[in-house]
Amino acid sequence: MAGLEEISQAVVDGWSEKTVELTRAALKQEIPPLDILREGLIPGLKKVGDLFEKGDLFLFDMVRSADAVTSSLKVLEPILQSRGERMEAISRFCIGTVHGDIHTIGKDIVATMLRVAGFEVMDLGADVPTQKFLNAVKESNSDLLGMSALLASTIPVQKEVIEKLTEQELRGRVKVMVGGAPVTEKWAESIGADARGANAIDAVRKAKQLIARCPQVY
Amino acid sequence: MIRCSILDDSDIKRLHAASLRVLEKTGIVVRHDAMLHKLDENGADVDFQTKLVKLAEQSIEEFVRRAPKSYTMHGRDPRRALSVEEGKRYVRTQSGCIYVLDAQSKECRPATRDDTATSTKLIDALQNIDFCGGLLYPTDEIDKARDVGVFEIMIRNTGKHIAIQPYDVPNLRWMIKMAATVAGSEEELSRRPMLTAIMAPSSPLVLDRYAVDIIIESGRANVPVLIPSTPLSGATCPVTLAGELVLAHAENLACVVISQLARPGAPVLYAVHPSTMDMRTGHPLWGSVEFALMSAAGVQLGRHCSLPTQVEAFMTDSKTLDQQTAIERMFTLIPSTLTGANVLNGAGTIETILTGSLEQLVIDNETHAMVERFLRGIEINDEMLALDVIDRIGPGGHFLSADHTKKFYLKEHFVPTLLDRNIRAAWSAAGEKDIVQRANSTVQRILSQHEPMDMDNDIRKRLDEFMQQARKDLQR
Repeated sequence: MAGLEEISQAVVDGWSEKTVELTRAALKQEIPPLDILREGLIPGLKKVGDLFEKGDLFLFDMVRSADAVTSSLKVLEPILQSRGERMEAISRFCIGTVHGDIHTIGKDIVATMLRVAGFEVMDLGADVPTQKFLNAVKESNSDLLGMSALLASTIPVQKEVIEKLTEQELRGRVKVMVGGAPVTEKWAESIGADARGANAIDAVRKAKQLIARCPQVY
Repeated sequence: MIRCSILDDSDIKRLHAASLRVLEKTGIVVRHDAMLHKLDENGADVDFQTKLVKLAEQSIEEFVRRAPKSYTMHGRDPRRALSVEEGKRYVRTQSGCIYVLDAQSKECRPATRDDTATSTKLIDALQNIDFCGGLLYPTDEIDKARDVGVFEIMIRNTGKHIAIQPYDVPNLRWMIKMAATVAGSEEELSRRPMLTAIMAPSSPLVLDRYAVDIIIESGRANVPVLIPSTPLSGATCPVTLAGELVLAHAENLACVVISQLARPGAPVLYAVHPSTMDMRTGHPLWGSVEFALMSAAGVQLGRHCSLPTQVEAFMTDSKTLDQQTAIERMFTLIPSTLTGANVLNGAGTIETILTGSLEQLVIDNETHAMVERFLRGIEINDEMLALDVIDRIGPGGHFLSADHTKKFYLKEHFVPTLLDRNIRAAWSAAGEKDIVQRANSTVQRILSQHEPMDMDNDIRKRLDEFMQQARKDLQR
């Protein structure tokens, strides 16, 4: 359907407003919201991922495309819910920058790349109290937990969270990934993390390897 | 001395005005309640809920004027004091590299306490390295006391001034305690501050609680504060070079205001570390040509406010000591020295400041001597024009036996120790070594010969005790 191709293209171009506009127009034409998602937004994101890998798109293009999809989903989700429809079960990635650290940019980039790769991302933000990570694991049914730290003084918090997860018998529920400039492979191993993302691309690759249910959708 | 500029006067004024406008209109978040009250009392527009502070142009200028134009950075060795002032330049080693590049095995491995000590001894010995930034951060030190551990190793192994980024105020207090023990007392330390504390704003426009605390605590001890504003183009600041400078300068000015509010006359060192982003990977870059341009321009902005400036001058994103390292270093080094930076930071580091190399440090030591020669420029006066000598020797003669040649050769010409200037046959006979191999021989020679300035046994013992207590205290 022509309208859906246009939506894909708007996602590739990274135009949030246009994507939302086209989403609304498609709904008006009574195109089912799941089709808008499956045949409009998702193919657009997939193309963005491919173009990025080829080096034809830059990081900011990805962020803008992910934003466009998020904006469109804000329109679609209430309708999907009211119709009792859901997206396919995809992997959920809970991510945040640890307590004491307010550096968000690295975490934000990883979150965006994960979204583009098809993960459902729950972003807890920066300076996240340890308890909040624990609650998120307990309550959100996440498959993966990612913790970022930029400061050499805050990476010990990654260890603390993992210890608490073990204490509260939550460790088995999630795969844990860590990242940030001072985070080394050795550190990740020593604190019992499942993987370390050396950069955003590496983080997505490792996340995909870690989950048994590889995201099908995007 | 040769001087060049990246920005002309009207550009500087426009950038400076734009930064003031950012602080007045957009404001900066200061996550420190006591400082918010202080700012409020001093006429800033403070929203205590959001912690957003808006500063009036006039009051910014007024506070910035209170910061000293010059001051002295002391070392354990009184002979190593550095007078930070207009026209003077000092070289500092990078801080915080957690890896070390082993020249022989070519392996890049996590640094240890032994590496920190060895690199500090080398820094202590190298003539053109003026102060010590704790090049290698030991991964075998406990995480929460790693900074204190580095400080303790440095103060034992060098008589030079020390720059350190404390993780938080309790850590800084341990360092001050150690330095005071070495100086004799806290009063003596405040007369002869042996360390500079580093704190960094979190771009865009956020000052975290600990960063403000470090400014306050340093001011109290008369320890100079280095403020490196480190935005990331297109990510934590605008993608345009001018936009990045506006934001970095604004963050710096806000920190200077806070330092002068905490203690009028507290010494500060202004720095813009204008990282750029590789938009294909998201990696921050410190060796990009734009980094070099903005660094040199940042020096001009700091000088416009009569503040002593530091610049990241020995930068590269290369992983090894190759041509990329040399190319990127020259771009980040020379323009910023030409715009008048007082502290040239980064000696010894590669790989976007993640890795340190002793061989690179020795090469940087030599490079700096060449830069100093370059900056001296071409002196023009009667003796240098040498008309008498030209006339006396005349057409067809030679100048080798002239007194003039002997008198001025070493004054006018730099004689390298690492650069190879031999013919190929001689170079081959000497083992066909490249500069890195030659630098490695220098490293070995210095380390086998150099002894840092002695330290009283009682002081050594007390430093040991402090370190043990600090580990316990900070791990809690």
